[in-house]
Parts: sequence; C-alpha cells; structure tokens
Amino acid sequence: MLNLLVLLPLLGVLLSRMISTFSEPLARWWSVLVLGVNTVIIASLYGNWGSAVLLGQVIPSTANRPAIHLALEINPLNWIFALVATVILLAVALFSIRGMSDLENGGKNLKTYHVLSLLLSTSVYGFFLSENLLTLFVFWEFMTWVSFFMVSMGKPRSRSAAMVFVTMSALGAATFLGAVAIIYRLAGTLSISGLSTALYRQPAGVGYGIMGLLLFSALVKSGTFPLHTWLRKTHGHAPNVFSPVLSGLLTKFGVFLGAIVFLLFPVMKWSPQLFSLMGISSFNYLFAALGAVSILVGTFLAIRQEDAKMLVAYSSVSHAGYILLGLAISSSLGVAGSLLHVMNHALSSAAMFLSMAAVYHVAGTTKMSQLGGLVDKMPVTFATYLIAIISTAGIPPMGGFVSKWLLYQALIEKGMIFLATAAFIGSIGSFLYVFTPLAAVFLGQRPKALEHAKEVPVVMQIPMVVLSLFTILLGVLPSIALRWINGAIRWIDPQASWLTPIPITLSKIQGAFGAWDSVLVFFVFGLGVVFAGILFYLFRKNRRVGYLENYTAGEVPVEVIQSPELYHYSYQFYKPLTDMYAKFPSMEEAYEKGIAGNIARLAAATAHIFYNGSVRWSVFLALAGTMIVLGVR
Amino acid sequence: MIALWMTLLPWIGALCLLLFKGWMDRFSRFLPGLVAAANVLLALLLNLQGSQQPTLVSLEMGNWPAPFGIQWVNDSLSSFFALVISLVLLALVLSRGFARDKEQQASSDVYSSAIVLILSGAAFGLLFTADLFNLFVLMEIASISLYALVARSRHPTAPVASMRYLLLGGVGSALYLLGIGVLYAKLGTLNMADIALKASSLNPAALQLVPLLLLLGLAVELEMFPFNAWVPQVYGAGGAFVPGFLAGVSSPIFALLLLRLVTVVFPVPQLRTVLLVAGLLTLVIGEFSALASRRLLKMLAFSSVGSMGMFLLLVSIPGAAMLRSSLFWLVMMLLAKVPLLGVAAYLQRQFGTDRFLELRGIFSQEKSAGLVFLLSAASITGIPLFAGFRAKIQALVSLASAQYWLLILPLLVSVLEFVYFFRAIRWMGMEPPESAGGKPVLPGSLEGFSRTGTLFLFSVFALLIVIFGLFPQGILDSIEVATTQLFDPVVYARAVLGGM
Amino acid sequence: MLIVESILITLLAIAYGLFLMGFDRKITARVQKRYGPPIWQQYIDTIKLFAKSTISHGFIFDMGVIMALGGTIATLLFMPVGDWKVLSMSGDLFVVIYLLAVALLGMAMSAVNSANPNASIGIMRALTQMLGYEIPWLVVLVGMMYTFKTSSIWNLVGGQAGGFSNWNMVRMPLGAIVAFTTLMGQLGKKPFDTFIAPAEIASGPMVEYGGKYMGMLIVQHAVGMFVEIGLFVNLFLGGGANIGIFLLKVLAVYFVQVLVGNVLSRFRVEQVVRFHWKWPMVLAFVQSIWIMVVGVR
Repeated sequence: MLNLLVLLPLLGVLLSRMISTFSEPLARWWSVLVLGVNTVIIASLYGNWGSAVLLGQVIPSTANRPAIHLALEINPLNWIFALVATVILLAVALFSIRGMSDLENGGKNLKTYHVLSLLLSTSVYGFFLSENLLTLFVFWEFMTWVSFFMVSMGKPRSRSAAMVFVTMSALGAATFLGAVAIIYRLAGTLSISGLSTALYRQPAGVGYGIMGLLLFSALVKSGTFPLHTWLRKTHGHAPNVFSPVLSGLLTKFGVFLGAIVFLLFPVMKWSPQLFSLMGISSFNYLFAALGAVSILVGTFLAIRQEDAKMLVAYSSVSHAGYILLGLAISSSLGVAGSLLHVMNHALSSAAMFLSMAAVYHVAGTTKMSQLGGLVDKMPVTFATYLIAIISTAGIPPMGGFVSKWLLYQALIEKGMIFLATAAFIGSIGSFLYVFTPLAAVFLGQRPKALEHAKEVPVVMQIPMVVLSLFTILLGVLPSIALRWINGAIRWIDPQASWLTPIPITLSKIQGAFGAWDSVLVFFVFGLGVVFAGILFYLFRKNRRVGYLENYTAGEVPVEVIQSPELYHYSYQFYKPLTDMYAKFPSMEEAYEKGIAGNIARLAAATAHIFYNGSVRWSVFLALAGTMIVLGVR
Repeated sequence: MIALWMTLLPWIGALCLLLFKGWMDRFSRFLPGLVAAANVLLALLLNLQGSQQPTLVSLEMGNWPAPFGIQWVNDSLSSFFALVISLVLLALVLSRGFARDKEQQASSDVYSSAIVLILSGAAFGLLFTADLFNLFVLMEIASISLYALVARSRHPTAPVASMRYLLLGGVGSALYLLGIGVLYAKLGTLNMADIALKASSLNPAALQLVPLLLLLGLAVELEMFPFNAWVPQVYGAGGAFVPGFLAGVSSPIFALLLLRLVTVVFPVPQLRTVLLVAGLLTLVIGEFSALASRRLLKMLAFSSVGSMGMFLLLVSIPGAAMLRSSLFWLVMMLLAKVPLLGVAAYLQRQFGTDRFLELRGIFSQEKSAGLVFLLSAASITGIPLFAGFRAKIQALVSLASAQYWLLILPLLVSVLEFVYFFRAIRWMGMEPPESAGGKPVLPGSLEGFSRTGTLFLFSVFALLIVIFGLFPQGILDSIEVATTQLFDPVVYARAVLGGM
Repeated sequence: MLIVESILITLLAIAYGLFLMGFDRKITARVQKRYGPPIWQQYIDTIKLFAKSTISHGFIFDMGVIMALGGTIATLLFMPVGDWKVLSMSGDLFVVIYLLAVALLGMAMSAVNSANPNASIGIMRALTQMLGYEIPWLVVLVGMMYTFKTSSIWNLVGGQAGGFSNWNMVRMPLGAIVAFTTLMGQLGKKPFDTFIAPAEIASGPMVEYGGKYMGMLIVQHAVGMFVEIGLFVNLFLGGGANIGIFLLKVLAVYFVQVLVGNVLSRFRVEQVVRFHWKWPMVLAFVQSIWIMVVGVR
C-alpha cells in the first residue's frame, strides 16, 4: 500500500500526458482521481505504524556500513503531515479543474502543468513518508526542481521569483546534504526513527552542529526569519493554483524537517551540556527566538502589503514562526501546539490562497486596491476567506485558536515573557493584516468593472467549502486532531521522559495553567449569536439600500456615483501604522543587492582576473603557480 | 593486442587520409566515424575479455621485455574507460560529421578529419600506456592536434585561444619533461610499474620534486588552476568536436593518468597536499567564474573546470572509498558534460550565438535540445535520481569521512552551480521568446538529417543519464573491480614486468 | 438553567452598561460645568433607536452587528460576576480575551460593508490602536498567570482573597497602572478615542448606522464595557464577594476613567500605538519580570 502512494502519481504522470493529448480537461479529473485514491490510502494507513517499503538503493553498502535505500515508512508523526498534505493536494486539484484561468489566459502549456503537478504530488508523498534522511533529501530536491518550473509558469515576473526560490532552496539543500554526509559517517545509518539511538553517543557539540545544519535548511523551506525572503516573490507571482500548495504544503517540508530535528534527535541527552535559558537549552532558545522574530517580521510586513497573495505569503512567515517556536520549546504543550498549528495553518492558508485564486478567476487581479464589494457577488468565496482568517487570527471558535492557545500555555508555563510578547503581537497583528483583504476585496464600494462578476463554478466552491468545514471542525472538536498528536507524542517518547500526551476529553483541553471546553465555547458563542439575533429580528424591518446611498455630509459627490472605487478606502490601509516603520531596511533588498550582488561582483572579478587577461598574464599565472608549488614543497 | 589496435587503427586511418589525399576525399566524411565505430567494437571486445579474466594484460612491442620496450597495459580500469571514451568519441565524431559545412572545402576537411583521427589514437594510447615517456609523446601528439583543431575553428577568437592553449601547454610539457628527465637520470627507467618498485631508492629531494613536476606537467590538461586560463576561450571557440573532446575525453584520460600517478607510481603525501589545495582553488574559482559568464559555452567550460576541481579534491584524499567516488564522479560528470556542450555547440551553430539573453526562450522552439539540456543540467547539479546525484552523494559521503571541513566549499559552490544552471534554464527555457515566431535559424545551419542526427546523439546521453541514475549498479561494479586492481600496485607491477 | 442564567446576566450587563453610559454623560457634564441629561437618558435613547426604521447595506452589514453582540454576550458568560459563576469555571483568560475579538471582527466587517470610507478609516484606527494597547495588557497578564500558575479567571480572583492587601492592584501596582491605561484604550476613552473621533471621521464605524443597528451597537458597547471593566475588577481589584460589591467596583473604576478621560485630549492613532509601546510596555515588562522573579508574598 505504502509504495502505491508514490508510484501511483508517478504512473499517473505518464497516463496524464496520454490523456491530455486527446482531452486536456480530462487530465484534470485524472489528477483528482489519483490524489483521491491516495487520500483514501493514507486514511486507511492510520494505525499501521512501522510498516515500511523499499524503493531502491542510493548509497551502496561498504565494508562497515549498510546500504542506504530509498524507503518509505509510516509512523504517527509523519502520518499527520501526510494527511494534511493529501487533503490540500486533493482540494487544490479539484479547484484546478476550473481555477487555472491565469495559466489558460497566459497561453501556458497546461499539459505540462498537469504532469508537473502530479510529479510534485509524488515528491510530497515521498517526502512526508520518508524512512530515512536521504529519501527525505531525494524528494526534497525533486520538489525544488519541479516547483521551479511550476512557479515559473506564473505571471511574467514569476521567473525571477523562481530564481530566488531556487537559490534559497539550493542553500538549504547544501546544508542538508552536508548534515546527511556527516550523520552517515558518524552513525552509519540515516533512518529517521533510529536517529535518536544512532546519534546517542555523539558529543553534544557534534550533535548541535548537525542540528544547526539541518535547521538551516528547515528555516529556508519553512520560510522562517532570517531566510524568509523568498516567500513574498515566489508566492506572489506563482500561478494561483500553485500558491496554496506552496504555502499550505511545501513550507511544511521545512516544518517537518524541523520536527524531526527537535523531536527525534537525542536532544534531551545533549541539552544538559549546554547553557540553559528559561528552562530550555540555549540552542533551542535561539531557534525559539528566531521563531519569535519571524512572527514579528511576517506580521509587520504582511500589514504593509498591497497584493493579497503577497500578504498571505508574509502571514505564512509569521505562522512558520509560531510553529518553530513551539517545536523549539519542545515541551508537551509546545509540540502539540506546533503540530496542531501545522494542520490549522495548512488548512487556513490554503483556503485563503484558494479564495484569492477565486477572486483572480473572477476579477483578474489580486491587487487589493483594484477590487472591492465582492461579497454580494461571491458569498461562498467570502465565507471561505472569513472562516480562514478567523482561524489565522487565532480567534475562537476556529482551529487556529486551539493551537495558539496551546502555544500560549507552553510559553507561559516556561515564563518566556519576551517570546510570548512576540506571539501576542503576531496574533493581534494578524487581526490587522487579515482584515485588509476582507475589507478591500470583499467589502466596501464595488468598482464598476466588477458589477457583473459571478461566483466561481461549483467545482471550485467544493474544495473551499470542504477546507472551511475542516477548519471549523478543528475548532469545535480539536480533540480529534489532538488524539492523533498525542499518538505521535507517545511514539516520539514512549517512556514519557520529556513529552507527555496532552490531557484531553472529547471537548475539554487541559493546558499547563488552565482548561477550556471547545464545544462549550462554540455552543455559548452560538447562544450569544442567537440572543443577538432575537434582539435584531424582534424590531422593525429595515430597508435595503445600495452602497452609493451613503452618508456624505448631505452632499452628493458626482465622482462617487461615477467611479465608486474612489470612495473605497483600501490603498495603504494601515498607513499611519506602516509609516512608523516604512524606513526600516528591507532584508529582501539586503540579500538581493547586498549578498547576491556582492557574490556576483566577486564572481565577475574572479573570472576577469584569472581568465580575461592577456596571454602573457595567463602564462605568468601558470609559472607563478609552478613556483609556488615547487617552492613551498 | 586489441588495446594496441585501438590506437593504431585511427592512426592508420589518418595516414591513409593524408597519403592518398586526392582520392580519399570522398572517404574523409566517413572514415573517422567508421574508425570510431570500430573502436567501440574493440573496446567491447576488450571488456568481454576483461570480464572473463580480470587480470592484467601486458603487451610488449617489438619483443622488448619490460621495462625497456614500449608497453600497452590493459587493466580493468583502462578497459572500462576505453569503452566509455570510445562511445563518447563515436558520438563526437558523428556530431562533427553532421556539423560539417556544405561549403567547406573537402580538402580542408581531410586535414581536420586526419587530426581528429590522430587525436583519437593518441587518446587511447594515453589510456593504455605504461611508460612515462610514451605518455609524454602521446600527450604532445594530442595537444598539438588540439592546438591545430582549435586554430582551424572559424570562431573569431580561435587564434588567440589556440595561442594561449599552446603557450600554457608548452609550460606544462616543459615541466613534465623536466620531471621525467630527473627521473630517468636517477632511476634509469620510465616504466610506471618499474618506478613504483624502485621509487623508494630515490633520494628524498628527488622523491619530492619529481611527482610534483609530473603533476604540474599534467595540470594543463587537467584544467587545474592556475594552468587553466586557456579553458574558457578554447571551449568558447566552439565547434562540434573540441569542447566535447576536452570535457569528455581528454580531461577524463588525464584524470586517470593522475590517478595512476598518485596511487601506483608515487603515493607520496605532499602530492596529495598540492592536489588538495589546487583542487579547492580550481573548484571555487571555476564555479565562481561560471556564475559570472553570460555565454553558454563559457559557462559550461567553467563548470567543467569546477568538476575537475572536485575530482582533484577527491583524489587528494587517500583510501579506496575515495578512489571509487572519484572514478564514479568522473564518469557521471562526463556523461552530463558531453550532451551539455553538444547542445551548446548546436545552439551556437543554429543561431550564431551562445549568449543567454540572445537565446531567450529558445527551448520552446528547440524542444529536444531543451530536454537534453534539462536532463543533463539536472544531473550535473545533482538533482536526485539522475546520474550526477549518485556521484555527488558518494563524493560528499567520502569527503565527510575524511574531514568535515572538506564539505564546506563543495557544498557552497554547489549552490552557485544550481544558480547558474537554473539561470540558463530560465533564460532559454522559461522566458517567452522575444518574437512570437521564435528566433530565425541562420543560413547554413543544420537541418534535416544532420539536425536530427545531432540531437539524437545527445539524446542518447541524456537517456544514459536517466538510466544510470536509476540503475547505477553496472558502473559501480566496474569501478569496484578497477579500484581493487588499482589499489594493488604490486599486482600491476608484476603483470607489467613479469614474475619479479 | 444555563439559558435562564445567561439571559439574566445578559440583561444585567446591558442594564448596568447603559447605566454606566448615562453616568458618564452626567459626570462629563458636571466636569464641563453643565447640568447634563438625566442619568436614565441612555435607556430612553436606546429604546428610541430600536423603535426607529432604518436602512441596511446588505447581509454582512446585518450579520456583523449580530456577530458583534453575540460574541460580546458569549464573552460575558465566561466571566465571573461577583460570586455569580455562570460558565466562568470552564473558560480561561485567553478564551475571554479572544472571544472579545470575534465581536470586534463582526463590528469591523459590518462597518466596512457600509462602504463609507469614514467607517473604513475608523476600523483601521480601531485595529491599529488595538495593536497598541493589547500588547502591554497581555504582557502584564503573562506575569500574572505565571506567578499564580493559572490562566483561569476564577482562580486568579481566588488568589486575591483575604483582604485589600492581597489585591493585585497592591501586589502589582505598575501592572495595575498599565491595565488601567490599556482599559482606557479598550473602552475608547479619551485620549484613545481616535476611532470614534466625531469631528474628524464622523464617528468612524458608526457613520452609517441608525435605528436598531445603532441600538444594537450601543447594547454591544454596554456589554463590552461591562466585560472589560469587569475583567479589570476581577484581575486587579479582587473581584467581588457578591454582585453588589462587584458592581460598585465597576462603577468606581469607570468613574476614575471618565474623570481622567475628560481632562485629556485625543491622540493621533500612531501616537496611541507609540505611547502604549513606550511607557505602558516598559512598566508592564518591569512589573511582570519583577513578579515572576520575586513571586507573591
């Protein structure tokens, strides 16, 4: 069963190409079918922990080391990730049946796109179900390579975005590969579930070195500060149906690696040898702090964006920060909160990107200042976005609140007041930035051009509705997901020496300092709404008027009637706030102009000095080299 | 005998071409191809023999016993590489045949064909020779042929390139000659096996000096920094044959000779130190320069320099694992470099330029060339499950098992490699073409059969990359046998010199 | 039982909140040397608003208002009122704080859907200002929760039992100052009333509301005020032994708020953020770290 997960999409690629030669739309349904079967398989694999399958050899065995295979394995931890992955992939595939308007209008080769998206799915399944680090790397690189092409198929500027993406990914891949080589030398094995025993006898210095290397690439892929700079461009310019996968799923590659590092390395054995800070090792604290900075950076930059997709991209930076924060704290609450947040953020960010893709489908842009008043025209899209942002902002009764609550409990339990402050700023700040698209795209005055906009087709609505329902479900009954997470916690630490399952009942969740009842909160919220509704409908009926019949101090400005978008406050929504940090240096620019620019200059200088000179100079260099070699010997 | 014929056959061919120039004009088109094909058959035969009897075969020309006579030794290393190289040569010779200008004078092509044949013969000779002086002679034959071939290219910078190559090659030859001079004066022999046995009787100063001189002598052909200033221009001068030959035949052969020198003849530590430093410098400077180049051929030339740097780095570390990974690296890189250079030369031929910016979106028009380029680039940057990935992971694992810090630079420059290859793909593959109809094809460019043929040749390589990426076991096994033999210099010496 | 209790407490909160508003108008008038309207004027106004006919700008315009009031009422049920528990045993501080956000989201949505730029600007200011005052407030709460090892409001109230000297106002004086300041921000009292600012943006979010919408929002504000001041009373003034004492404490706190608000003039919105992130933030950190390190007696 397990190998089917990878082989099915891979074989599906061939068939997809064949099918699309005579009917391109049929190939879209084919993708849905393949991913649907895979989803069923993953769901059915629940509980079959430890079942593994070999796919082929990568490093041949030598005298003292066993061979390393491409191998898949299922365990309670990676099952959670795989489940999230498959849900997102399936939802996006279903959405793509009608939702690829930006690609179609751009005259892009959709047949290639289908092939690439199935290849990408292969890499996703393979990655999350990897048995060892090398398999992980293989699918990781595979994903980078495929995403490069998928990202480049987007808007005209997507090519340079794809280059940024590839450069950052290559950096991450380099450190990953370095770590893999070192672990292989030290332990002779790369098996993920065996890492803890394999590395147990290594000194703390080596251990933290390896962890640092791996976490570097985890930070790159999850888009966490200070390696988040690729996200804005890549998410913003990628094809609309690819952005949800990129944000909901592919950034989780980094998170998964982070989870492996923090949870499956023998950290508890190494940490006493390191200076400890607020009850965790200073190494963990460093990464928790990076997570906190990431929350801040993501939040403040998201508040500043004018393009809805870029805004959501920065929100991913901030949420990657939350996840890293919880993992780095490595307490039961932190880990459970992080893993739950993975699910919540995947669902909500995919839903946000899908609703933005739907908006693009209808309006042809995601620039917020050019949109407005779409709520009447696109109620389902609006509802999807609304539910997703309630979750993103961490407000009950949606899923995002539960995971953030666990994270707050974890932070306060340890008394990490500064990190908690960052988490709070991120949560209040998220309120600000998620509201901008809501106000600018869906509410307010509607531009004349959108007067005849229509809701997207049902096929596109279904995935949005389903993702929203999941978000609500995780808010009302988070115990379902927490039970899985508790299973993972039990699997990670069977002796419960440093991680214990979160005490839960069907509706009640117990934190370090308090407990709450998710069903009750939902019910009481409903009760409150019913009260308010009764009060509202008890009294006189109102008269519906259009948006143009507004209070304008008794005057009727002509420009409002002729071009209502002028009366729509949406450009630079938070100007008074963003002006406060407008002059703050941009890291993206620092990387591009500073680091990349200097490397390019250095490269040009190298080529110029050694290869562009006269023939005499070349001969001189050769002779000088000779002299040095013979002289130094 | 087969090994000897692999050298002699091309030379006889060349002789025929030059002697009977008048009426051989017609054959000049086919002869190199025929000879190359015959060599592939011979190499196959050699391998079949070798696989049945994995011992060393030593030939004694003119019945002079070793260490005095000219000797061609065939161990499993050289027979395996003979096969690889004969295949590469076949592809290159054929693509050169396809790329021939119609207007070009038949008589002028005879000279080029003859040079190509001489070059091929010398290449096999270098592979099999057991004697440092023969090595020198063959090296000179090969280099002079290459200078001539480069000079005959019609690219505007060809004369300068050839000149630079010639001068640097001269430096290398002089150093090499100095080395064997000292050696002969001290030991009275130039047979590698003989030297291996007698090296301990050398005085320490000579034992230090001679290997270094020999290494520096080979450095030019090894594209080792700072002897590689000729590389970008010579590759850049293009043509269907020269860049591919340099990357796919000449540098691998010299790499093998270096391996013999380091493992069999002079296993002295300071040679390895020099290799380590030179390898790192070559790697870093090569990859950095590749990042700066705006021309496809130059970029690939620098990338080739970089991969040779990585090879030198691997060789610099003692141990069988290292040897294995360096050989594997050599083969896998060669498999990717030949089609890359082939596609680049083809594009230059078709569109008169190899600048990325002028080749915008060219792959939408040249689909199969694009696919070959893509697969080869994937392999060379080490994308998993392509051949290059296997080599890369092996190399890194071996480096890690030697010294951790050795990982740092190769990993960092691998990022650069990623960047410049993806940049090339971006410009040529992903950006939309400048005009809707695509770029006009130059008059006199390849079309019809020769176009298909050229692309087919390199597609075969791309296919090999995929196949060996998925099933590398065959190559790994051959390399395993070769390293085992290489690691037993006594066996080698005994086979060469007879029961000593 | 729960439903009856919730209705009762909701009615209490509405009644008391409206009373506080009338009280505010009276005190403000006295400060300005006016006579002012009768103290029950707010009840009359609210009933009048519910009776008037009005306009609507669409479904979200209606739903947002309902969501705002509903969320606020839900919050109320999780807060202890004197010795009246309702549901406060099964909620915790974070649930209360973030449930209040639902109300804000509802109101924001509804106001922006009126498609009046004044409303959007008002909402922008309200959200921006929230980023200012919530952070120091939460920092103080972190210190408090860590020190008392609980995040349940009921337990935090219980921790202050035993007389005036055990009140958090005495134990955490700086924290109480911060909480009082941020409470002014939460209530939109001067100098933090940027988002209403009648003279600049025509009452901001309220600009398009009339009739029962306005009435709903006034009721929502009444309940919200009750919850927010009540939270302060619970967390810093030891809650109330019975409802009467609790209500008196709420009145006392509000009285001071009104007095302070009346002698200050309005900040600009970025000044609100800058102010809160400067002094209250520093005080909050000092207080929290101090109490986390030293602990309570």
